[in-house]
Amino acid sequence: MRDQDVVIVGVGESAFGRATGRTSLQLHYDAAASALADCGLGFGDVDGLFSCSGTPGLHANQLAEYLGVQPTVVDSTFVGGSGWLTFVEHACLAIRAGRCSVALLVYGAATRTEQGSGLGRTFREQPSGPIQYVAPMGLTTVGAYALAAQRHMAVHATTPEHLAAIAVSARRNALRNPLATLRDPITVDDVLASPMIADPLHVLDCCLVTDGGGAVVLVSKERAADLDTKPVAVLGAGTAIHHDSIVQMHDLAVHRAAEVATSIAMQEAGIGLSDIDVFELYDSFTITALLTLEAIGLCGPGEGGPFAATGALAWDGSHPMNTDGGGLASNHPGMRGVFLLIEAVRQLRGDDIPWKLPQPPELALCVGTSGQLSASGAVVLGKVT
Amino acid sequence: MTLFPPASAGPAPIADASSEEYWQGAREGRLLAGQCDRCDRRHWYPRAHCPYCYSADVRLEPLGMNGTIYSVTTVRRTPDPNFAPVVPFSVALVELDGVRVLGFLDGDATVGASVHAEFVILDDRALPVFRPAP
Repeated sequence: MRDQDVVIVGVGESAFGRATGRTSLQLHYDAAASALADCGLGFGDVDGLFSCSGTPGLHANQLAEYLGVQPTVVDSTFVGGSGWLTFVEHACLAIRAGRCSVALLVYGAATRTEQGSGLGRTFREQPSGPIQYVAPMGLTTVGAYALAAQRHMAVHATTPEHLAAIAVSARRNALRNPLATLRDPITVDDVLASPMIADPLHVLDCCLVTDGGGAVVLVSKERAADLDTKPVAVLGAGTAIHHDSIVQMHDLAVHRAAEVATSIAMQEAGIGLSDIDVFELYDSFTITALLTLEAIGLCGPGEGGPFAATGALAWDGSHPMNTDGGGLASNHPGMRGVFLLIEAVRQLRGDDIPWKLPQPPELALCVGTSGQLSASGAVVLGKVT
Repeated sequence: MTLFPPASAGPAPIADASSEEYWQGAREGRLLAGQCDRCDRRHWYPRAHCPYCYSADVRLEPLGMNGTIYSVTTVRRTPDPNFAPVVPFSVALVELDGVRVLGFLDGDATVGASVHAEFVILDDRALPVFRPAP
């Protein structure tokens, strides 16, 4: 296994939920303050800032100014929701190279407050470049993922019930999490009876649209020794971009970006998939998680649906996934990657939370998905031994 | 079941060298794709270079109008004001002559079905629309 030289020492969240009334930058502050307090550091200690946003302007500059920090290492790579997994990879490189000592990865978006419940691009602007060939067809974000789901269903024996099982499992996990936005139990029939958004994806196959912010603090193992915190080691990290628009995805039934990013992360960690105890896999839609289960190799091609239907992915199943309720039930402010990390860290530390897993996990795999199954970031985290 | 066509094609694109020829071809009833003269592969949407062999030796070539549905969905809710009044409508990714093209689907057809490409004129733009082959 890899040397445990870079560790996560702090995690934190802002308030989240339907609408917080906070601005995006305030949510960044709330999350960062919480993560820094979690490890006894302050804003003055931060010399590496890792954050991106879809808001106009120079986000990293705006954020540094707003928070009142002057970082000398900055990364605002904008690949979408998987960006915070990629930031872990980049923060590790910067810390190992001695270029920064306290890396703050932070996200905040007042998505619900600022945009309402509508998902997807609205095409109010004049399209230029590649987007002009697809924008006039009005394909929504949900529609793009629906194309992948339809293809998967046509190529394999995947059914709407299989997809629904992923939503049911996420909701089952959310029942234990008092912070989760949706906490009513649901059944497969409930998912299938919920309004269709883009065939075959129902509203309950889609993630929430909430406000929220999250943050993670990384330091070297040496620095962590001075802090009163339970560190979690970054054992491996990887990134891959495959395309931008779903139209350019080579095989809509294979999440190639997640496959490549996970393979890089697992190889660096020097462990096998059977070593992983808990899975935090991006669930913008049920199909996203299903494709990721197959991409990471937990399920063979076409086996993701039947596997989900066994209940194995719930907190008390053999392969707990999205233990906080995920984007389908807990929160999803637009780009959710940082929350995968926060949840994995809490479970690995054995934090005293109501949704703590009965069997304390030793190793976690987090895999983020961006855009239209476009890019991925994968991170392997482990208890410090 | 689809209502067709949508009310509007949305804001007009900002044309570039590749796209001007593409949209002009569409208005003339030709569905164009990039054709590489070095590796002989086609690509859609058109680019100023070949995304497979990276050669700049590319031109636009018309595709055959008969294809097969690679995937398809019916959009029933959208935040897009241009499309909200006309939901539900169907969008298909169709394989024609080795490339995949996104267009409207007018009618009912599933993955693997044979379709024929035509154009619908919206806001002075000719957009691909696929109809089930008879």
